[in-house]
Amino acid sequence: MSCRYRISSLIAVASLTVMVAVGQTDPSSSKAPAAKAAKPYTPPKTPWGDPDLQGLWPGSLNIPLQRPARFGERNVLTDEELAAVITNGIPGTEMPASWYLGEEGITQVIVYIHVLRAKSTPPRIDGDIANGRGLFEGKGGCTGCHTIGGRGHAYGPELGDIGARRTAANLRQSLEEPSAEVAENFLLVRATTRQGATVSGIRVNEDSFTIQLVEPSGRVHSWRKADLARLEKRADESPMPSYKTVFSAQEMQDLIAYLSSLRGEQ
Amino acid sequence: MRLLFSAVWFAALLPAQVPYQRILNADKEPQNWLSYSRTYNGQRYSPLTQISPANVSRLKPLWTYQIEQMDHFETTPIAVDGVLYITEPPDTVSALDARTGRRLWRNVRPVPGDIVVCCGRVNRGVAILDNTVFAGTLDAHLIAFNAQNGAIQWDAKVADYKSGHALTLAPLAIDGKVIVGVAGGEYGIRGYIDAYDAKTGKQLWRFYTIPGSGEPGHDSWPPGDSWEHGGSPAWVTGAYDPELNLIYMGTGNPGPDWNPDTRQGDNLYSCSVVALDASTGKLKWHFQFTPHDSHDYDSTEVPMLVEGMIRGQQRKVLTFANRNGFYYVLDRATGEFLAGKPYAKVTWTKGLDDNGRPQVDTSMEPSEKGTLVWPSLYGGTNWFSPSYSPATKLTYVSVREQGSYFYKTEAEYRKGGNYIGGGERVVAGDKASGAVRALDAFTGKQKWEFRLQSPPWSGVLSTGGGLVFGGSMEGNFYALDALTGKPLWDYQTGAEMYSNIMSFAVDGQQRIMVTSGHALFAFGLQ
Repeated sequence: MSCRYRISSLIAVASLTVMVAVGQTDPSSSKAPAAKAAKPYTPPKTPWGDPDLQGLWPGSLNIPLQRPARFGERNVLTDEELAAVITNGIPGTEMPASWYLGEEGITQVIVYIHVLRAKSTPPRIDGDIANGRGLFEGKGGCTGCHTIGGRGHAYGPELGDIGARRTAANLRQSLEEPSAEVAENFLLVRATTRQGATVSGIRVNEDSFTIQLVEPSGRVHSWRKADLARLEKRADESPMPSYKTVFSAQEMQDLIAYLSSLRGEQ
Repeated sequence: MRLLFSAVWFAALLPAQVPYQRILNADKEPQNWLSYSRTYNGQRYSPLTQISPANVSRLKPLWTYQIEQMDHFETTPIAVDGVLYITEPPDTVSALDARTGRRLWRNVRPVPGDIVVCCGRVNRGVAILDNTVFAGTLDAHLIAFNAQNGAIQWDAKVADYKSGHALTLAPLAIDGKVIVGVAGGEYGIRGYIDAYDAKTGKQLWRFYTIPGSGEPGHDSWPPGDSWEHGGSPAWVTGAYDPELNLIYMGTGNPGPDWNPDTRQGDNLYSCSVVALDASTGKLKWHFQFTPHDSHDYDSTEVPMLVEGMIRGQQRKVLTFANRNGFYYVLDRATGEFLAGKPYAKVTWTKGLDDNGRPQVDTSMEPSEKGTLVWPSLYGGTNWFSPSYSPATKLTYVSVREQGSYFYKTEAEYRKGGNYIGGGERVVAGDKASGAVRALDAFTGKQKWEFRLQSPPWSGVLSTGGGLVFGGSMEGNFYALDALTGKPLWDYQTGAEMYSNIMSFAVDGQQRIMVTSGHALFAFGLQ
């Protein structure tokens, strides 16, 4: 079941990628699209040789099974089509409508997509990647809380593609001032039971009656809130310590270079 | 099989299953639930007492009915003598055996691919009268089904769905008539409320919720044609006072929603409650909660008709927990404003004057950069029902505490196209929350509250057993003590709850029914 869902979400991602690719409109470059540089996607094949698109397809996703005629032979969406996707989102998917960016904001996003397409290779970040990796696994003790490609101790976020999701400046801020921006799904909470025991950890889930949190050790606790004497939510505090004074300037740069190199391609 | 046979056999003996007199006297048969809010007064109160604070801890799910669609499942089942009648999204009507949840019949209507609905392919339930079940459709038809086998008796086209009209509400069946209103406030429709002959499907009257040229109230729109696309839909089931012979229905936002520049004036009868003569559809009175609305504060909530002492005088009133964050008490014969008080955080106005009219605060208007306003466009509450308990004399409201940034953009009318002039971005996560609040029904004063993790999309049900049931977006189905709000029981249903809760009894056993995710759950004592 989850596997089938993964197939459909893969398709959704693939279709998003197509739309990004379509943002390039310079006719002179259409003969030599940047897409050539990337590894082309090859779908799995059925035993009888057709692309295997079998799975559970929620009707609400409205994924066309035929190439829509309006795209003709084009490889790329026009800016107008791109604007429509940004404005209205893709109904039935996680792609939200961003009409509130306004005409100027949407134009800027389209320009940015053009820039992304022009740079088919990730930005080069100065620093010694190998040394950064050593710091991550050694001096920093980062694997005590983070996984990369699923390996490591899972307390904080998985970082296997963090370089694709965060700029170097974002990464520096997270390392030096982790509390500046804490993701809501990593909220630090401190629970005190009626018996007087206190447990701190990251909120894993919460509803109106119960809360689940995980300790740094990986131990999961689940309580009915009515059974807690106290429940503190520390939205301004990151579970991660600051590394500002732990690393030298060069070490910090090496670590950022390593993290930037993590782009989900294991 | 035996159950199915006995249901058919029973019905065969009684071709007129649910004559009007039965719905009118619904309190004589608390084991059934014969109308959207059970009784015409809209109270969504079940007099059943079997499940109580003393034994609710033993409440268990007894059966589950799964639908085969991804859309929100918002139906209120109608319960008649051991059979439940429901709608399933998008446009399916089913009859279920109330003991087991096994289906007795189903009528699946194909939905045109080009329907235009703002907010999901939803339907909130059926009505029943005599031997006929009535349901509205997303392509704006009203359809009458034989209650025994689901066969279509008649099919009335209420509107052209291609212009953005749709029917999402449960119809209201009264003596010989079926009352519906249209959705479409985001598509530049001119809203209306219709009555159809229950036997034939012939239209009996139509009340336009925006007065036409020459009619009183037309001058609340500027010269030009803005009134023809001014919205004011009516997409939630109303209440009915048989003695006054008045139907009360809430109306939705004026259009375009967030850019009011082209519609200067109060924009009657948008964001109002209208009292209509049930025989003729003529307007008896109206009360406009939000004149010249620019925040999409539809007044499409369920009016509740209650009787009680106000300032030392026994009065018949209409109470209304409005999406704009205020709770209102009106005289239901005249529409006179008696009380109004916020039940949720409100920043769009500084308050109400002595006539219940909100004071204008232009700094809270939608803007190009976004204006942070409470409540969000989803309101302090929304379509999901409130409840009034005659036992506690309290009104229970499912409350959304959430602000949002309101944006304003240009709007141009095109048939079937969005005509909204802006939009919003909600403040979500831990910055938003929800609650069930118990209010003094006649003053709006808060008696207690039960906090919810996030803003809910589930209504509440109060019962003669002294309980209030509600649902949360994290899947909690729960029971509170109706007098104190103390949580007494909860069950994790495993999905977001867009639900309206009801109760009935089968074989003398009380059931509490709730939808969650894509399933209908039956709860009872074990």
